[in-house]
Amino acid sequence: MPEEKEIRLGHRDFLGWILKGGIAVTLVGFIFPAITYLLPLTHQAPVGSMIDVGMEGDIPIGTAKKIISGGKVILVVHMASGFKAFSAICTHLGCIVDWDDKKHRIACPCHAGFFNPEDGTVISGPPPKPLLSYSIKVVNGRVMVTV
Amino acid sequence: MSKDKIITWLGERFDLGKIQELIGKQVNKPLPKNIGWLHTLGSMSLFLFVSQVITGILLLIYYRATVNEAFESIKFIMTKPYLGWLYRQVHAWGANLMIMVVFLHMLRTFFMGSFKKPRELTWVLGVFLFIFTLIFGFTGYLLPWNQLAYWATTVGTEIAGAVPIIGEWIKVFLRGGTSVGGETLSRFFVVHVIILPWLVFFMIGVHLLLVRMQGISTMERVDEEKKLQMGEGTPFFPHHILKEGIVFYLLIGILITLSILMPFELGEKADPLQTPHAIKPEWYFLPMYQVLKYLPKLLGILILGIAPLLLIVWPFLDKTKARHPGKRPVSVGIGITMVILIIIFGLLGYWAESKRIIFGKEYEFDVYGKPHRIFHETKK
Repeated sequence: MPEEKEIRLGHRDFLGWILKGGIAVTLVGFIFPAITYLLPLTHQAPVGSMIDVGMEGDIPIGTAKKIISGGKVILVVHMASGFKAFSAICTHLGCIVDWDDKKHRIACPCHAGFFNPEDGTVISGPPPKPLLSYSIKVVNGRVMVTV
Repeated sequence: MSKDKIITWLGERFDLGKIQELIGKQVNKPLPKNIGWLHTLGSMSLFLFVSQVITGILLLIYYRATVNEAFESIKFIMTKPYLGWLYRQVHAWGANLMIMVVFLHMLRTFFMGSFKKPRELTWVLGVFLFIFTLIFGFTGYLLPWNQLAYWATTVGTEIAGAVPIIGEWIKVFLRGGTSVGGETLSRFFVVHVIILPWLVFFMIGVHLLLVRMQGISTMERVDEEKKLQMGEGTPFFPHHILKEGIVFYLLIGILITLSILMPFELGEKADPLQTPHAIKPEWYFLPMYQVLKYLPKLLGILILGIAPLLLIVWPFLDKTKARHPGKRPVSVGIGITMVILIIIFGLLGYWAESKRIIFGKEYEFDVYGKPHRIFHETKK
């Protein structure tokens, strides 16, 4: 039978490990709460609420209005077919899109991306995806967007 | 990459032997035999400074230094982010403890005669560090923008206005306008989080460098100190380091315990139209504030201005050779008198303008801290 190698652990080694372990535990105990403290508090805004955009008559057909709510930028367009609401954040690199009055389409000023105001799909340019759309309806003459 | 590879990589670029020798020399540096627990007060101050920097950075993540947002952002820190309340409390208590510990460190240096030749400059730097710690406290106190902070700052800067000729100018300069407002908050904020931290950081660096270069003072007479050889005295590592580790853990315990059991209240938001009753500065300014009440304005300012100057030049006035407190009756006597005066004026300031019940009798203390018995009329 092969002889087992005896592991000798002296007092000093033992104390050393206790000390090192204690310091490590202390550091971890300090760093973890600090990281948790730094985590962004983004889930605090009320979700699923309705935003009042304004009176129906304030946005004539063929015009648009931009609103900001809970950190979101929303573009409300009044088409002949009714009101449409899209996220105004371009799907390409995050610029804020605008309503092109003359050509009646949504345009991104950064890299000439164009979107269809009916459904938010890309007409031309670099954006890879259509604009995110929100449900919108008119309640008692007021335009309401559900976020 | 293995450890050996890293060492080889570094070794091809730096003289590792020399660096190791340098570190080893510092780590194994012998300290004189008389080094004790009181000698950890300096590293306690350093520890508290580091703690203030770390908690300060954490607070800065959510704090906003504007009149409209400052109070709300502190409220936010105390309620929303994980352990935000604790970081604020540890920062506030750390400030108070730091002032106390730095002061005790200074007393230790004074009574043990450590400030004498060749360590005069270390003392001078230390006095400046103490003054800057007080300014740290004064500027930081305003940042939560609550009633107490607002009015304590108003009164504090008003005192500066009593300095002859340039007083009014200093007052307006400190406030960034004629009254405490948004400009004051910005100024205090910049001083508190940028100017002072870096200034103190570098001054601590030089202070420590001097301590390391000249060694820790013994009780031997000036010019008769024997240089310690390697292997003599108490080793810095692990003996003294272990002692420091113990006080660090004690400090952490004290800080967290105080934060939980005696938290600082945020109070009400600053209202420039409503002065609260009996406005007082923080406890560490109370002795000075109280002294000012007894003296004519000009004389008071003069005396309070001389005090720090006297501290700075003290090693150049007291050139006696003895270090042991038992052999310096005059300077030790002066030191003890000053400490007692600070405590007395501090207590008078604390009692002033308050009602207290002592041995079942009700007293009202006036602005000067003098008690007046209150007799209640009994209705028949």
